[in-house]
Amino acid sequence: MNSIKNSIKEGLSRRTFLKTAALIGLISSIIPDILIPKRLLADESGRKAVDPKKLTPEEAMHIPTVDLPLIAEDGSLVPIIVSVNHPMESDHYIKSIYILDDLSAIPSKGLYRFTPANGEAYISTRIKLAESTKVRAIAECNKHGKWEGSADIKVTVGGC
Amino acid sequence: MAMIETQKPKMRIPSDIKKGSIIEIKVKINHPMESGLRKDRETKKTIPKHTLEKMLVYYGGEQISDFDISPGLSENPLIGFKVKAVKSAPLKVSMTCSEGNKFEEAVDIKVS
Repeated sequence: MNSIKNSIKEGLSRRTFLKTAALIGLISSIIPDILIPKRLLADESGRKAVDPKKLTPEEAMHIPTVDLPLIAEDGSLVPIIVSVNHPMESDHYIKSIYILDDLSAIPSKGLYRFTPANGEAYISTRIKLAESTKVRAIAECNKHGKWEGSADIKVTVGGC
Repeated sequence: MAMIETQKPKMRIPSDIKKGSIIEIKVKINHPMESGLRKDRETKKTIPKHTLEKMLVYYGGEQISDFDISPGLSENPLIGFKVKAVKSAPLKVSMTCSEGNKFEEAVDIKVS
């Protein structure tokens, strides 16, 4: 009796296993195109502060400051200011600031390229946010690569 | 939704500019910044994409900034950036829209 039960169990589990495997294969061949794009930009990143409360001189110079309200009543109009406290000299400057939110249907909130003639890497604008999130900014220095700063925000009514 | 009529961008600069100081320029433009992903609630039809894609800044004829903007920005964008006022020269912004329209505006920066 026991052996019969076992063989049934094995048979079933084998069948289930095969079915599941086939199903997973099928699903993964169809779905990625639909699911992945929303999070695609999460690949984009930069060096973060090791200890956000105590920045090293190099971190303080490169990590962008993201200025956001703590709470946004209206997600369709959220004021944001991103700046980098970095000198803008002809051979050493911030090339660009990229603002993104991984939870929005359109993650890119703009790529802003600068030159030393700007005097300061600074951008102020208004963005759309779908839900409470962490807005990230990636600053690229022409000598020291990409650095990342972020700010959390609560969104009451989404606006995407 | 009422259609927003796109006009020339409006630019604002500080009134008193000292040579060599870093000033903030604000640019405002009326534009729907429609992503092409939203649906009209009543007709259930997708609202076609209509957004600004590029903003270039020229100071004295030289390009100093190049912004890729997206419908992730709010309707009627207000964009502020900085410029080091090293000379008296015109500052021009030029924006391009997904429908190929170009919107340009310039102000004269006078340093003292």
